[in-house]
Amino acid sequence: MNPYWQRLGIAPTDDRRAIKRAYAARLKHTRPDDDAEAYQRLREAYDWALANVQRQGAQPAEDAAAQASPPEPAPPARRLDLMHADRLGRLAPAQCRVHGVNAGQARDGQRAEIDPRPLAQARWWRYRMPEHAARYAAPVDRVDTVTEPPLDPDSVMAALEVVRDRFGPTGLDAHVDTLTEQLDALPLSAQDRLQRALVHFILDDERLAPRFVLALAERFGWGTDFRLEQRLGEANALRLYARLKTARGTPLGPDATEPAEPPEQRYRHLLHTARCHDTGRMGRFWLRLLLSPLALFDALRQPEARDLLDAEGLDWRLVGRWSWWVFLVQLAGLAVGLGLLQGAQSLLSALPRPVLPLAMFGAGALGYQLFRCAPGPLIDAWYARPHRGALARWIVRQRHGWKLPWMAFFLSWALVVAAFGWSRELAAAGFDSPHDYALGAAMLLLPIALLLVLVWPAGETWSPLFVPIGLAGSVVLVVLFDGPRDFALGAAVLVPPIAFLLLLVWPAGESWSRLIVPTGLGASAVLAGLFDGPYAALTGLLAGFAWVVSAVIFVRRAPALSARFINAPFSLLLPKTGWGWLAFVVFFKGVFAFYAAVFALGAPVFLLAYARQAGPVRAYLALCSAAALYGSGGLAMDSWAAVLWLQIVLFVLVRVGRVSDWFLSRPALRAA
Amino acid sequence: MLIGIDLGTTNSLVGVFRDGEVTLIPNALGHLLTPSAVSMDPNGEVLVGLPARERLSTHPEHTAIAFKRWMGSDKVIRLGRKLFRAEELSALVLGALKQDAEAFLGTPVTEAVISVPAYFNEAQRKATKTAAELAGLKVERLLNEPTAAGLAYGLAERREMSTFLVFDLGGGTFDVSVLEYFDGVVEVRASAGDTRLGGEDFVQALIRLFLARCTALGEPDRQRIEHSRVLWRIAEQAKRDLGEHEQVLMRLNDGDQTHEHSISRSDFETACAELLQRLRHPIERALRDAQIDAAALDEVVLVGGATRMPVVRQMVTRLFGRLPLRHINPDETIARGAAIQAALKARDAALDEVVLTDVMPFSLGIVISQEVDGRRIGNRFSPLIERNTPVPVSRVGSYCTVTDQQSAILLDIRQGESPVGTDNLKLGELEMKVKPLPAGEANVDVRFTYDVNGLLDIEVTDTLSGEKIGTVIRQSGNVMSDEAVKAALAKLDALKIHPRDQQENLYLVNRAKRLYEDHLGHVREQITGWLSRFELLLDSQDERRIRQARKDFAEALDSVDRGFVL
Repeated sequence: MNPYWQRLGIAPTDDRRAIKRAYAARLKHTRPDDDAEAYQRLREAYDWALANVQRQGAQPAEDAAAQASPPEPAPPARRLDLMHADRLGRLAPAQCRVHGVNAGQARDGQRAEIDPRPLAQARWWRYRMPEHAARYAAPVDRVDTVTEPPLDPDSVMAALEVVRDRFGPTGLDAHVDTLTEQLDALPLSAQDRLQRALVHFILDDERLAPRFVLALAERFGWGTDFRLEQRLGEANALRLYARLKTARGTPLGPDATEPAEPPEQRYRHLLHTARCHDTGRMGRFWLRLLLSPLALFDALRQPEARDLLDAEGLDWRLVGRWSWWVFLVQLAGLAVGLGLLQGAQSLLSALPRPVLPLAMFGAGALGYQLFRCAPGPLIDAWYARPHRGALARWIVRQRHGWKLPWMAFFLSWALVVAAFGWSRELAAAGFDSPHDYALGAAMLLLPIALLLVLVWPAGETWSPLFVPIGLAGSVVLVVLFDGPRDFALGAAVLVPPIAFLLLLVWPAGESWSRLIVPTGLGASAVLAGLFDGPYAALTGLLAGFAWVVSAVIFVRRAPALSARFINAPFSLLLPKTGWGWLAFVVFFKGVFAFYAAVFALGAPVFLLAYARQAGPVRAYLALCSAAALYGSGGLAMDSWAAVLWLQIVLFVLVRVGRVSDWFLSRPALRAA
Repeated sequence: MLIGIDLGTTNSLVGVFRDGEVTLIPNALGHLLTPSAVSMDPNGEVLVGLPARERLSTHPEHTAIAFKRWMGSDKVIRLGRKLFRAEELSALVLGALKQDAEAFLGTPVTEAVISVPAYFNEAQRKATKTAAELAGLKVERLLNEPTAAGLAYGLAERREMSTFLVFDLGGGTFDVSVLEYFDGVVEVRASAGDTRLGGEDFVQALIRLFLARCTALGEPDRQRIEHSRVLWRIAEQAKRDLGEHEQVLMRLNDGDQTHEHSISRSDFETACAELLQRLRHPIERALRDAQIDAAALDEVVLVGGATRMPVVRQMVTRLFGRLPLRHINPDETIARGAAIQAALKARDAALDEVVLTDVMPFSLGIVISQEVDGRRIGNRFSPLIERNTPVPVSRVGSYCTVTDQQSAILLDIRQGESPVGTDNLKLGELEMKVKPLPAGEANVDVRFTYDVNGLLDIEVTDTLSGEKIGTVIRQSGNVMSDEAVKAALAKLDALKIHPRDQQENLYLVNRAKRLYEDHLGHVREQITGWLSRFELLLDSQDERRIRQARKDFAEALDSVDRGFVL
């Protein structure tokens, strides 16, 4: 038998009354004043037993009966009359009523009115409900609210529904204050009823804005009120708690109250693409596919998007397969482009291997893309499997985090550095070669970046590490390279990615302490650059500019950005609609295509001119910095690669289009 | 003999449980209520009770009231040239009550149960104990006021089972308790309250309302009048009158000006809407903590003088949708409960079947530093004993060091409900040396033991060495030290207190003086006439004639102020 029952001295029961009786009997012998410990043990058993009854939901018949018929007003015979007899004599209930509540009325016939003003202020109660309005505005003729409360929960709920239907789920937000004010005017029992109705109202409508839900939760103390489970049943209470949790987890930013788009709206790009294929508008289908294979893939990772297509009888597998292939082709185009570029560059012997930094960023972008664009259904299937290994579980946990894409990014980076730098450059050129700066920086960047990626959210306890890392970094740089100037230039390469990284992972409202290292690096780059002649100054300024831009972006956008990055998967950043995606592509890819064009055209000119004055070493360093700066925007990584393959692929596309047109227009085929 | 004392903000009572029932003990004037007021006359003699309160408007700088509000604080109250702490003034009141009880019972009284607001904190409870000690009373138990009321009510009703809510709005404090009575067990389910809300606040609201009507007054005059005791008395009178009349006239004689405004009940209601709103929160919290629906309550019991106000009753009626019970005199309920508790303590045979269990109305804990997602956040509150836990209770919490080589742990003991440590009320601190070890390896177990009197005992154990530290709390300033208590005892002994048998004469003389100030013209002449005649008689020392004259004098004064006794 459970020791608690033993302490109470009864057999297990779900009769509340029996438990109480047993407790009372025991308590007479273990009074709290005499034996505190024994009392605590007894009390523990008693609380447990009552909670146990509660859990089993067994309402003892006696209690139910007691609730059904309230106890008689006349008290039973008193064994012990503690009060003066004359006082007791005076307390006939009827008299009490006259004296207590209707005193004013009884005395001089004047009617005490409930102040109608708060009701009149709440104009929305009148909204479309003249009958309610008339009822509330009419003076209540008695103070006695026992029989007629000024507001009844049903009409409150009716009003809420009217407002919701008219103004949408967010329309209720504006009325939260009025609602809580009105709640205060209700008797407690009516409040309880209204509370119950409100909980069901919230549970029935998933779209209600978090602000509304949270305001009510605060008003009623949901989350601390254990009566909820009794009132609503355990299942509903749990649903409510889950709802509150998600409401609290949603950032309450300006756009947090936007209603979630319906799936048709949200995945309309995907939907249109699939419909294009279905209705045979193949040109549009390919255009959409070519311009945004990633968006299509991203959308297809969501089960609801797949359900949507299934519901319309569209083949999402086809779209997924084709967009995957298109993307692979585009990647191949990128590789070809890089090869071409390298080939072209190798022709220009004056250019000392600018491929390395380009390849670094290219590889990073590639890794990032690969991860993000892995076929959604496959990944989902993988996630859905039970995972036993620690690593697999970790990856599953990271599913919606930001760490995994970045790990992919830096790992690819590391591979390229290892492949290119370590084996060939390092071995061949040793450490006195000029592009060691960039190489050293890149190598340094890798451990730092990995460290950051792995431990960054560990928060303040890690902040002391940043100064040593910064110092060690400087020492490594100074030792590896031959002077402060080189260090500064190396740092200039380092700053933008670090700044960008910071920008991404910075939690909203954090202190500035983590900016110390990049600030120091950036500043020293600028200073060293300034002291080293005009061209180095340009480099320094470039780095400084990158830093300032990053900082400004950080200051202005960080809370929202980082909240999104930390709370949401990457894909949230990308537009989900066809037009939005098109605008995105046109804008960013256009901008970066412009830069790429400037870069591609201007770089040789600039480098040649620069090399003539400052020598090829400086020219190369400038290129490194420019490349670092260029690759420093997160979208740039995407877009930069995109620009390259877009140019190539568009060309191929046009050719293929013509070829296929020609192919399709063949008379033999037409006949078939 | 164990007595029960209700030491109130405005009035105090004393009761005793004899022959199976509670008897409230009248004071020298024959009243059950002794105002908690102390005054010092020009000879340096101390007046306590009604005579002192009568001097409030005539000698405001020599008179103190409502000092219960300053219990447990460092505030010093000036009476004439002497300075007093709230504990000392309370001790004078308790002393007077003790004398009354001794005169009534005919035996010396040394032990008492004293009621305190449930929301009184540790310091305030200690101060109450100190006050009793200064008055020569040993406190057998500090009883929470709503619990006392519930005890009185529960035993008076003696239904088989009932759940009821005690709404206790006193002069200076507001307490709500949800209680359950079954099989002789009076169980407090939850308590909540507001220590800074009471009848006095309603008087202040009335004062502000009155001053707002006096548009002719300049700002300096307004300031002066606002703080004058004269206006306070008028407002108090008006508050009481509003209980019976729909409209009252407040008249203030200020030098040669007379301000006269009529205040209606609805004006008053509007003026104290905010106060009424503040009453709701503790009620909701008590019900929530007790896990009881408002509809499941069998009764709502109103306790405390301020619940006589129709606005409050109306608000309670509206809130609960039912008529509250008021059949026990709201002023006396707590004293009755305290007397019953005294009898319980003394194991009175008539109460053999009754057991009272109480709860702790607030959370107790310490300030800690917490690691959340790898980030260290300081100044968090870690409650060891949650509010509304049944007392006595003993809870242990384990805490560790946060930095490497940390050599000491400072326990900052606090009371309250805020998650931010320093937002809670500081009770004291305790420093403990620990062995310097890496962070997190040095552990201490902190045991809080809270007894039925609401006093806290702390025991800290170093889990590594097993070394124990008892209650060496460095009190945070506002509790009297042992030396201070001794000094205060000497100071109070040196005070001359007016003998008890002259109380009534003193009261009448002071009341006449106050009425003289309040009135003008022929009423003044009448009062001077009565007063001179009475004082002449007092000089004659003829006991029989004085008694007769006293009766006549009292009747005459009653005719002037409708027998109003504050």
